[in-house]
Amino acid sequence: MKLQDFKSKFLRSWVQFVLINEKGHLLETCNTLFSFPDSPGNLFDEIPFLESISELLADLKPGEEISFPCINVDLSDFSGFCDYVFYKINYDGKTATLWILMNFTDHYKNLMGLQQQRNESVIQKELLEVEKKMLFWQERCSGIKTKG
Amino acid sequence: MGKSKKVILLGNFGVGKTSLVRQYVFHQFSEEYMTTIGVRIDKKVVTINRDEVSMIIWDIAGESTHQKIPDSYKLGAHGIIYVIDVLRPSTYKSIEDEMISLQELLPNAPIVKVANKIDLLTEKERVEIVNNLPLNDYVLCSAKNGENVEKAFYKLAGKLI
Ligand SMILES: Nc1nc2c(ncn2[C@@H]2O[C@H](COP(=O)(O)OP(=O)(O)O)[C@@H](O)[C@H]2O)c(=O)[nH]1
Ligand SMILES: [Mg+2]
Repeated sequence: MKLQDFKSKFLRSWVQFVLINEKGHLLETCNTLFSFPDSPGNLFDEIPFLESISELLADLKPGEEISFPCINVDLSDFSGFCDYVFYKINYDGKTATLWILMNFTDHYKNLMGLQQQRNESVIQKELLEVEKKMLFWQERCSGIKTKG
Repeated sequence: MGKSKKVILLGNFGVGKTSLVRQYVFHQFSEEYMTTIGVRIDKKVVTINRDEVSMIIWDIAGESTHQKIPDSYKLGAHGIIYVIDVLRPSTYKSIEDEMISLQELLPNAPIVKVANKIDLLTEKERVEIVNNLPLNDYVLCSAKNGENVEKAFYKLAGKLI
């Protein structure tokens, strides 16, 4: 095997390529991460993510791309975290959208653990400060009351 | 298909964005905090005066400012729900600047401000805290007991048609 073969063999296991026509119909897919039903309907209707970016995709010019990091994916038999990239390309003489899904589930799960710790400790600290302030005011107020 | 609208949820982490969506879409709530990373997309169709609006809700991982969030998440958003936590002043101290920069970035996207976790305040605290918030016109919500959650999303949907 050549380097190129190793490269494509390695990449193949965590990347899915999906080709969609202008109207939102599936042209081709490689089913690496998940499979579509035998005759999928309009993907813009079936997949909310695609529905919400259909206007952006329509405006995308050939050669341009948009990318979305860290999408929480829940699609038929796959759930995990992916980065998405969309390209406008020429396919059989027509413009089509190439949707690339890169599975980074392990990496993002790891990141999630770290972020959870950071967020929890920041929130904890803030709430303690608020509590301290409230106690201070309560004491002052009750002090005023007893004096008065 | 009706009208499809991309709605993004913004605001610091831990303010209750994910809980608001779960309450709104699935009528569920959990006390346990599970941080969001990246973005999770859910959909809910609302009917307003016989108009169907399909709200595609982007529940985005919270940061102290929206500037730390990838641009593509915000790109093409039709509406914004900006959430603060009534108990944590840090989640609203720069809300004025955030509103200005969001309006510059997405000039046509209406913003609904949500003051969440209202269930944790007494009547007296509610009045006191809400009166002292910067800006006004917040929808006071509780993702926990569902108070005004529907109303907040409905308010935004109304501005989207
Ligand atoms: N009491 C109360 N707790 C809430 C409410 N909304 C969210 N929480 C809690 O606040 C924490 C953070 O909520 P989450 O939805 O993950 O916040 P996010 O980071 O903005 O998505 C969780 O422990 C929730 O259970 C609320 O309205 N009332
Ligand atoms: Mg969240």
